[in-house]
Amino acid sequence: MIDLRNRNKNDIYCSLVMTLIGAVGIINTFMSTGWSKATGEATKMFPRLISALLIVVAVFLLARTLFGKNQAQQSENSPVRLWHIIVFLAIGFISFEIVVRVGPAVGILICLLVLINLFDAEPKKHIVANSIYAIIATAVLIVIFTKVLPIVTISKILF
Amino acid sequence: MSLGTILTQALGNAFQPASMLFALLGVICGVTVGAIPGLTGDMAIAILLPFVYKVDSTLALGLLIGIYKGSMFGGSISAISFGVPGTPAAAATVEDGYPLAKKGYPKRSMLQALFSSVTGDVFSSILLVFLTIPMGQLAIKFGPTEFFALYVFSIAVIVVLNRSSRVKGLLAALIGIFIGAIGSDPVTGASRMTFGIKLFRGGFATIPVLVGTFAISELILQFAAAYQKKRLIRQGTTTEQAVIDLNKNSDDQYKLKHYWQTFKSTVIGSIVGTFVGILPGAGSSIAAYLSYGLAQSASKNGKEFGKGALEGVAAPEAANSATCGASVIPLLAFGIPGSATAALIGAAMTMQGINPGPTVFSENKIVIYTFFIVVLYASFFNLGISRLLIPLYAKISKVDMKFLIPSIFILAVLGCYVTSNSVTNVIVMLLFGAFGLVLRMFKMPLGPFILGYIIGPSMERSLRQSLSMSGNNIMVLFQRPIAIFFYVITIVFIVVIFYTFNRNKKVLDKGDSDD
Repeated sequence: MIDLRNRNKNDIYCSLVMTLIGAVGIINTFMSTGWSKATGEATKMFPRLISALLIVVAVFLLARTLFGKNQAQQSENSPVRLWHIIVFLAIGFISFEIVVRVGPAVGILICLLVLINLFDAEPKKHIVANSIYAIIATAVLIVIFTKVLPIVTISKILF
Repeated sequence: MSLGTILTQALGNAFQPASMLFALLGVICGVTVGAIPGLTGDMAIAILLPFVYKVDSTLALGLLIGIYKGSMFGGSISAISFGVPGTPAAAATVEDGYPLAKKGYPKRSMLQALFSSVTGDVFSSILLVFLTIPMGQLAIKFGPTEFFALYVFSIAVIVVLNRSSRVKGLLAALIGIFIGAIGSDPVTGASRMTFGIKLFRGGFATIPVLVGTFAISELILQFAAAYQKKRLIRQGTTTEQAVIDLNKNSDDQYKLKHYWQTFKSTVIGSIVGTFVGILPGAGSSIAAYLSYGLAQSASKNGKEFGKGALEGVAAPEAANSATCGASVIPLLAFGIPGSATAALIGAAMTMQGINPGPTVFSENKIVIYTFFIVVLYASFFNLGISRLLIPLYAKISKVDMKFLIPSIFILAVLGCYVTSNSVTNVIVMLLFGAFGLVLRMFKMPLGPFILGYIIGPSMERSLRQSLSMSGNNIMVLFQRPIAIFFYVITIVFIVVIFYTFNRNKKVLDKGDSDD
């Protein structure tokens, strides 16, 4: 029996994800979905080859992790949690939507205020400094996105 | 057009006030981001990609190369001040730079880092000027079989040099090639591998992929770290480190004799950095550690290394800066970037209508010669401005991330959107941000991923052209002399690297963990 506690879980997850991606890639080359009807078999050769190599290398990593002599490495305690990723990406998309729909002046200011306060250990204590920074940074970003790279907004309520 | 005419025009372009101003801004921006732990030159260049396609190619390339060079030195500032490398490339500098600062010599240590950085940088920039054109002329003779062999060599190099896990390096390169294959066939242009998803049609635009992988994933990491720090501050279990005082010790001066005393280590660093930089995808961190080990062996004061030896600052700093110019050589000559940062510069060139590779010297002669001149003078800008602003940079390295991350994030999101006014770009960028983070968490290096993504379509094109010319005979790949030469040097390289790395295992293991 393999004692998984002594194995590097990071490598196990990595190899499983890569095997899955390779398998999806290789199965897709045998299906018609996602392929232009005008193409022949030649176009499928390279993706099939790369997908197969991905599976072979990922399986090798899995086998080495499970059956190799090395014990699991001391895993570093990563500060990243799933909710960090979800919250950060959601804020990114919502910020973008607000800027495009409401206009850069209001949109950027709201986003900066929310993000700065989210990062601040004591937001109530630093509310003035945070607000001043947010206003200055908004002004700079507006100049960039109206003069240097004109941003296309939907309603353009402000700027 | 004669060489004299080209040089005259290139000198005129390079010494225009705007060109010099952009290179200077690049250097200042590069040193600043390098000095702040968590921000890197790669990230700054990735975020600026959407902006540079709006300006003239000379200005854009000057800005980006300035950032590249500046960030290499900038990383040493926080490495010396706090023992925290500003960039992974400066990790080796901590070994002796931080002990020197603790002994009361932070200024001497930083100036040593600056002078060695500039020496290494100028050395590799001169080689960039003199090696690129002959290599490009050689590359013109290459057919698809030779190029395929060269791509195989590049992938082999990047995998073998990634000692922490060669298997993961190979996986990262393969997943990069796989993602580069999604969207459209590089030979016929027909739609393929879209999995029926609209977002995948036509493939992924380069800018959102690069910004997402390099910048957004790093910002998520910083977000998580800042949130953890916020919790610790609330619990009262952490305190802020004070900004270092560079004027505390009147004996803390850097003189010409210090430069000559450490010159041997600087030369070792410059040569090692240039060699490693030319190899595709080999990181500046590995160059720094390799030169540190070699300088220690070659020095009379080898036992002092790790305790605050100036030579221990000189060698890694010369090496990491020497990778800058060197990593652009294979990019311009063959279209294969020597580092992840060179890949980003290559993407900026493509956006400007300049296709890196052998034809660049016939199609964009003046731009390339102008670029060479800018590369050379940007090194001296780095010397002048950093010499002047070191005390300020030491303070900047303690800037509060709560202000920086939100501003950079908005710049990245909106910058990506405005390149084509497409929501798709923003979605792709955010998705690749998450994907880049997954790669980082799996400890898969981003360099091979980006190299695979960039060269994947060209690799497929050369393979299919070779097979098509020979009636699908696979042996065609092994019939041309130059192709055979590349396969032979691939094998020789693998053997030499395994032998060298096993001999210097202890030193290089540190480099791997930092890359």
